[in-house]
Amino acid sequence: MATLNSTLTLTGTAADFGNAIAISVSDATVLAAGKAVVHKIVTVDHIAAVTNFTNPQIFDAGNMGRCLVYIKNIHGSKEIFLVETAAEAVDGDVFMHLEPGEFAIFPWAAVMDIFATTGADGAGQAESGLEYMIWEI
Amino acid sequence: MATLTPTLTLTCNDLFSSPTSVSASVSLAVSGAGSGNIQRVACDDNPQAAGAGVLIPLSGVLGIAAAKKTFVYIKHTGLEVDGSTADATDTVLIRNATAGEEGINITLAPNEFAFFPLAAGIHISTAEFGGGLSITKVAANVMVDFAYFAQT
Repeated sequence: MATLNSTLTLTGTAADFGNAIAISVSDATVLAAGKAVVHKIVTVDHIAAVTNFTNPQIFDAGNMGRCLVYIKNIHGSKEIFLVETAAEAVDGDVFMHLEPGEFAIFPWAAVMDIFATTGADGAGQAESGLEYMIWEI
Repeated sequence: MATLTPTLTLTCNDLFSSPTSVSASVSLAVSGAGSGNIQRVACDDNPQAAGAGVLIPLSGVLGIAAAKKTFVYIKHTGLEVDGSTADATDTVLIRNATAGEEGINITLAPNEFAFFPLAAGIHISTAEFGGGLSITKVAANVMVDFAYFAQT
């Protein structure tokens, strides 16, 4: 058993928001023995742009239980979208949108898969563009 | 335009032989107007007059167009709906504002939190999961803290 400590702060000035924003939250997630831990950096493209390319799979609901997911767009210029299938060829079914430098942290239910795409054909390849860590809980 | 700065740190000292430490921070250009109001709501509250549990309606919220990408912060308070009694077991489902399993599928246990960039309406097919954001209780009703920041 191990413990993953996570802390998130959100800050903004009173000049920008009317009142200063200073949110700080922490949590300690217990990681049971034998659970999966994944840490990867993957290249993301759009399936219509490359022959035999499929969107890289971030989360496999068929083989993992509920997870804490950290994901970050580490590419310098490409947008990355999270979708639910390997064959997602259009922008119509995305649920998260990570621009360069943006990140997300969320506990994902073990119901749906997560895949990544750069969006519409021609958007370009985000080589080594997506970093993610997953802890099964 | 306003600037929101989220910072995340993740540390684990006892999983591997070497400690894990991750830190991320970014400056986000967001709309100051209509953003940043932290609300504490129960899962069956109707804060946007768009239905029980709907936090971001498909049509947008507080003057923020549905086509805008929105940064979302949400935390399970670990409290029952009276706002004071601890609840250590009941979870909350976070999904898009339409029914079904597709799209966002986050489960918050007590004291867990999430921060993520919810895709703009222009990227979302209403025939699939429609966008927006809603919360649903799994068993007993609980309170969550919620804030949103619309990208400029």
